[in-house]
Amino acid sequence: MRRVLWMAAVGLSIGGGLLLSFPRPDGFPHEAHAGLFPTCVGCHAGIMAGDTAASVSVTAENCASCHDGVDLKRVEWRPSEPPPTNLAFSHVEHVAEVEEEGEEPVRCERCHVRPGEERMQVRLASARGCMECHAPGQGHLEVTLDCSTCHLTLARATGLSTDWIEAIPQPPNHERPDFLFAHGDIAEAGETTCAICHTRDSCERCHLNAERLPAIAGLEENPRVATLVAGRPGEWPEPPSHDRPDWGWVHGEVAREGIEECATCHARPSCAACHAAGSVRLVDELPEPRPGGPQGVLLADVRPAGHTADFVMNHATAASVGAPDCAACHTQKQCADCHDAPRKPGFHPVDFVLRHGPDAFGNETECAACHSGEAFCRDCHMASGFAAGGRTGGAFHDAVPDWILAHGRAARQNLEACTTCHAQSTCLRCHSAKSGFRISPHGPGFDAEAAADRSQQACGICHFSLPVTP
Amino acid sequence: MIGLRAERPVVWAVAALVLTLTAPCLARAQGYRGSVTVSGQWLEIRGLQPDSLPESDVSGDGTRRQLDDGTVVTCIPNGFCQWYGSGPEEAVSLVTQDVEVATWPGITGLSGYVHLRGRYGSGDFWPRTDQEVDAIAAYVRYDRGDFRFMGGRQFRINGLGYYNFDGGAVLWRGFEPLRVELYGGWGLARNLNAPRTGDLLEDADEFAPGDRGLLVGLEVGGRLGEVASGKFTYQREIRSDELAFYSERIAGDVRAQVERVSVDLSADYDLAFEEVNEALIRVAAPVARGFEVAALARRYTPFFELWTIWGAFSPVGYDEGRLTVAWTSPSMDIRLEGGGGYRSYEEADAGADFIRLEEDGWRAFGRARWQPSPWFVDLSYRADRGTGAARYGGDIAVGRYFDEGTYLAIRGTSSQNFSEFRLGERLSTGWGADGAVRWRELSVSGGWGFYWINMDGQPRVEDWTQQRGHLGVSYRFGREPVVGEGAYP
Repeated sequence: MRRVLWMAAVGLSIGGGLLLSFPRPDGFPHEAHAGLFPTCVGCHAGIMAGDTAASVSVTAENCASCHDGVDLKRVEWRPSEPPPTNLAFSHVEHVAEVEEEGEEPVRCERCHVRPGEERMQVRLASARGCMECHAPGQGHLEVTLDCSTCHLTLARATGLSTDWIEAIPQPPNHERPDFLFAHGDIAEAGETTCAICHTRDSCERCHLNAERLPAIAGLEENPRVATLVAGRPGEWPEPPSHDRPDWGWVHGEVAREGIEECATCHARPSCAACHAAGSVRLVDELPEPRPGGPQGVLLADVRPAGHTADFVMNHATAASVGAPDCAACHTQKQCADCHDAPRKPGFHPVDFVLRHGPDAFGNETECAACHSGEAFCRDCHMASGFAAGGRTGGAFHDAVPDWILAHGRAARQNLEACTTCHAQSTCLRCHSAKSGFRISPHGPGFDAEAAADRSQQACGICHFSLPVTP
Repeated sequence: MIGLRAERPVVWAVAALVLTLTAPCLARAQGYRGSVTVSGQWLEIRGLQPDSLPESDVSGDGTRRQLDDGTVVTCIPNGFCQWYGSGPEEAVSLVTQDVEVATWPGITGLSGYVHLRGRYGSGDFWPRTDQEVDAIAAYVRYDRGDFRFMGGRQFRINGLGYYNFDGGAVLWRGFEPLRVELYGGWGLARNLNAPRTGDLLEDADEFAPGDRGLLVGLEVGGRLGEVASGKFTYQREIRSDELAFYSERIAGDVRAQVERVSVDLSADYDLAFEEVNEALIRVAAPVARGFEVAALARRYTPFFELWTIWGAFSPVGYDEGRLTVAWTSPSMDIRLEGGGGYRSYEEADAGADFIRLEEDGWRAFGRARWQPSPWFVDLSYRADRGTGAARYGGDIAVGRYFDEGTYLAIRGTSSQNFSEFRLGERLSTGWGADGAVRWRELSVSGGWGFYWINMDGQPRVEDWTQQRGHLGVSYRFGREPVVGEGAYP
């Protein structure tokens, strides 16, 4: 049984192979008819009158006029479908143009027979043949000639399938490293050249400002190309100009000189990463991304040099000297939004009130830069019972036995935190020269003279008389 | 009752602004730009409440005892044993309303800016929710040639921080790149936009200043090409009766940028207590493709104004080092950041040595943001341990951008909090959602969150849940007169 199956399989393979190897009637055997047809137009009579499919290929009736089954055996001939093409060639017009220019008439074999071959060794015309006259010495894809001399634009070459379009070879100049940044000039110099292989859909994949660029706006749209590019993300490599170390600071000037160049890759959301909405009017000149279209380069995480995660806590120096120009990205209101607490959630996480203790003690950034210790922090601590009127019993600080003995060190190290619960009067119960335990709060090296020199009033809170005479 | 805190100079400034707005100039450079923002927050808060028993009702002896449920109490001999338990839950709300307008009346160099903020709140729980309207800024500016004049309520940003005052400022830049600016006027309490003599400080402290005070300052700045910028600031705040200073300080700031390496140097010095309040150097540089490093060394000692006694308590500072590393891959839409810091406190020379307290601290953080457009995922973790308190916790956010200014995100958070000086551990866990919608010049943002707060180690502090929400609406209007001239005056 196994042997039978093996034989059947081998038989099928051989049979199938033979079947596929028979020549198919997809090309007229011109060479077999050499000597029978002295001229081409005998069969291709219509070729000089107008380009129709019938005039390009012989019909079964043409064959039957000789292969009638009497003098010659009958043949089965099915003319092949003309291949899909984007050629704009017309024999009639070509002949007329040649005549107009006073050139010698072009014979059929000039294009359809390779040099050195017989007249009836007919082949389809090749691009190389066209180049011999139109651009001698140039390759098909390197030609400097306008491609529309021979080709239809892609939008008009309606017979091309998406597979065919996808297989269009890429001209060598597209492989130049700088092609992406130079193709705009090329496109502006010769719109129709690009249009042979591209429609507007190709450009809109990357160009956010496609409709504002004449070279693109002049292109037609085409659903086949739209299908091909659908879902393919745009490509926005970083141009060499952006490599400047000071690019972050000079880009505004460059943008002012030609915002349209920026608009290729950047829509308004790009700028929103740094520039507060509405703060730079130039941004409004950038396009809005099309719904469902490419969004362009998103700079959500691109910040100026030095704007690392900790910068929000450490921007004081930059803000003080105003360098770089803070106003290029930030409005004055933004300063007030944070520095005038309580304005809005944003600077701190939303549940910051539940976890702000370590931040307040650690002073990673100065709380007093935005909050008044007396009128903001203490106000809340009092209302929520944390401060409880500044009791001195130590019940709140229950983690440290004999808190009263320890509090001095804690206070010196965290005095700002202490003042968010305790008013001056709390401490004065013990630390005043006027009453109470009269415990001096001054540390070693305290310069009473310097302090008194500037505020005798402050000294007077605790002292009846000045300890020093300024 | 809405009380307008604007003082006379502000009234003048607002009047001048109105004049500039209505000036009959139809020059090309005329224009205005502004915004109206209304923002509201609502949240539940649960505080603490002191409680006590007569000492005789609590077993044991000494100042530190325990109740039957384990609550640690502090006892005063022949008095009471005290502790803190849960207070009542309260819901509070805060609404702020901002109106800001910048105007260019058409006279070259003349502009005005006003930013008013109204606050309306419920109850006394949340600070500064009394109904009030503040002028954050309201000034007229004339900027022409070598000079710039500003008059009205304005704020200064310099090495000493962020200061508001009512008065004038004159900038001279006739010898560029040198810039000299003299400013002065009636001082305002820092971060309050209100005079020192107002209710806010008076209610907070019985020794609140009795005089509004005058502020004068001098800034000298300069630029060394595109490489470096610097500013020196001298500022003095003095009682108008000249009896005392409120502060006298100097600051120096330098920022240098060579290629992509930036260096910040900054120091401010309190002349009254002869103390460096803050001195830092920060260097940020790209070290490899996609990698950026920022290192910071800092000394910090708190600054207190001279109307308080705090400066005389000789607060000590700490020295700190921090390092942040960031890696960005635009092709992978990823940004990773991590870092940490260590700080060590100066010897305090106070308190009993046998009681151990933390004398240093460290912090570490990590953050990852993945942004495969239009989605984003944000993960972060932070640990902070030092004198006073410690915290360990992380956040997660997942969201989607729909358009410019339009997004929706879901967030989660969890953190453990410890206080060095107070028993117990608080664990807060929560989640919420927030989003924003922008349509032309109108934007609306809002969010809501739900949190579980669990307390361990304080038997009489109950677990509770908190809800909070916020909603904001903002509308921008007007146009600036000159393309590319940037933002606000």
